Amino acid sequence: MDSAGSNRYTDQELIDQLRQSGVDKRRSEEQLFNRFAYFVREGMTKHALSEDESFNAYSDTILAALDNINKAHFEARASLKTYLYQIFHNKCVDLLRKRTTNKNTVHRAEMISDRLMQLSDSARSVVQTLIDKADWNRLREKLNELEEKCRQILMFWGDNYSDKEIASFLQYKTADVVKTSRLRCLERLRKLYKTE
Amino acid sequence: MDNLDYIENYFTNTPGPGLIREFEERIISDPGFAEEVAFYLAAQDVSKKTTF
Repeated sequence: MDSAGSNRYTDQELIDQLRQSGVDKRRSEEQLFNRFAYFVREGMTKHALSEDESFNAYSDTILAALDNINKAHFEARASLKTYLYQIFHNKCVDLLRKRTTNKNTVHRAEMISDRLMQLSDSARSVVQTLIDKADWNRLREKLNELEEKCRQILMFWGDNYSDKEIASFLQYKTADVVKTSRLRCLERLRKLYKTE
Repeated sequence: MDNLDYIENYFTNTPGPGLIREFEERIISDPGFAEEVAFYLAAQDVSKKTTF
């Protein structure tokens, strides 16, 4: 019995119940939802989401987890908490990026030209020529080949978030750690892009 | 990675006249460095246009 006085299943018992049908299934779905509902608060504090956004991310997490459990895609290699938190974290990150994309599109669209304008005519002309020759599709493909954490860091960087903000979103200890990781990811991307 | 750090510092901070001259001379005289500058700018642009 847990503190609320109801039966609290182990992970495996809960998973078994979730794969049943009828009243037991509904009860176990409710227990799954309630057990990790504190994630909503974490979405608000760690990812700076609103309560509604965090609740939606959490609801989507539960739906995705239920679907995976029913289809036996969840193999219980990690605890339910770890598994759900990873899904929830990714959904929070998705929401953050969607919010930024809507908010700063115009500003960011001007970033390359703004930066090029920091250069003198002769230096700008050299860099502009190289940018014009870049294989954008290949660069995008190689970005998608990076491991998830690298992609997330670079996408937040592309969205013009500071290293301090990225540290908060992706739970790195400090902005300096983000900067080092980000530049390593960028170097990895460059090598992938240049290697045939 | 050292060059990428150097390039980033140039674009995100306010470089002094000495650094501006050095940076631009390197772009013109060192094709590898110019390519890294172009890559840095292109990578940031691609990153912002990519979705999870």
